[in-house]
Amino acid sequence: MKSIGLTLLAFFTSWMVYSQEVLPRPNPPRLVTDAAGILSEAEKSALEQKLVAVDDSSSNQIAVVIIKSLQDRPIEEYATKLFRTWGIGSKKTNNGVLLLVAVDDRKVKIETGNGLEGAIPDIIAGDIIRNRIAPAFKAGNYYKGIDEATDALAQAAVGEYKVARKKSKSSDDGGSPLLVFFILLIVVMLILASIGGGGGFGGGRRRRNDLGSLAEGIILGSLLNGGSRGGGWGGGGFGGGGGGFGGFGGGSSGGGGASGGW
Amino acid sequence: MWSLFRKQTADFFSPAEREEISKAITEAEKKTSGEIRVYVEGHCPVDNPLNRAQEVFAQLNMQQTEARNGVLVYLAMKDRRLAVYGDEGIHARVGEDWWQQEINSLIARFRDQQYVTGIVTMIHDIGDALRTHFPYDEKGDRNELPNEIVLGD
Repeated sequence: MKSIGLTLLAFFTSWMVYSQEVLPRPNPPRLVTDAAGILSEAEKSALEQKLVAVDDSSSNQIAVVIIKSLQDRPIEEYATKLFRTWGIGSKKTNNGVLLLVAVDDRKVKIETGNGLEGAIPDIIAGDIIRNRIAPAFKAGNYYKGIDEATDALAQAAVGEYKVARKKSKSSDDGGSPLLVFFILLIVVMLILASIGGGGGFGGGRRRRNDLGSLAEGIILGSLLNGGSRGGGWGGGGFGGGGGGFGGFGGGSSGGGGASGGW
Repeated sequence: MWSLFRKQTADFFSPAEREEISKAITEAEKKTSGEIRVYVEGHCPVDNPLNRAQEVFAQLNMQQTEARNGVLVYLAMKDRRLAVYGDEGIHARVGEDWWQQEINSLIARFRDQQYVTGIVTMIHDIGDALRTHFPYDEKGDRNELPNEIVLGD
């Protein structure tokens, strides 16, 4: 019990340290704030217009904040603090989304208000970071990444975003007659039935580099209780991801695990 | 027709084996507030089984434990992929290396085709870790999540 108390104290202390000032809320209020100067004026106003339209039509408020550096603070803490101090989303429905980009740290974070936690769970936020933001950012195209991510977030907020799935194995003979397809299907089912539980085929085929997928898992594996998720991009060297400890309430450390194949 | 496929999934483990796994979970959850679940399916629909594990974890509402100490063991039998995912409470205490070590020993057992032994051993290991970090509350723990092995379709 004592040690739990001490741990809590340690959490709290670190939380206090991290809770330094965040970027002040823009006045007049804007949805797109680029403190790092990576977007052109035209890009900023295009994003702003789009996000205002989203806010008008769905009342879901998506804010994009770009900062230069986190100054060694965890992005989770920064995002939570900024989300709260700015009051993103409506107070009543808490339907705000913050897309935070820390350019020098090469980190991105999608922070979701409680009202949208169901619509934008971890898995979707992670998918958006992985598939929309990371590729564009890697190519140095910040605008494209942010533009596509905000589109995806707007879709997700109204329940229209689908996580991309790998197609399960299927026959490629699209043009062949239906009869052939059915015969193939029956053959496949017979094979499946004969192989039974323990066996299996295609073991090596889908296996990936275990270390690589582990690292990806750690980076994308932060399940935060605010329904938000951090991630990073860049060629390796990302290490602990958003790991470590967070504070109370808003920021807490993510879950984690490991994976592999046999 | 689809029921045939589903039956295949269910056949990865016989009823007796499933019973053995459930019992291991019940046993492991004794004296800890932590929760363990096992999810089995044929194919992993996404590239990284850990991502799938996390997705299933959320779908099973496993993040609703009070101390955020749920652990999911995920198995894609046909793809021969597996993963373990622990919620933030337990992850903060055991760390990444521990998960990897557990996964490695499970993989070793699976390579020897000791599927049930591997799973049961891992469940016991997780139970030990949970007991160390989340001792059973004297006032009584409730079984927050079912102990049956979950079969995907």
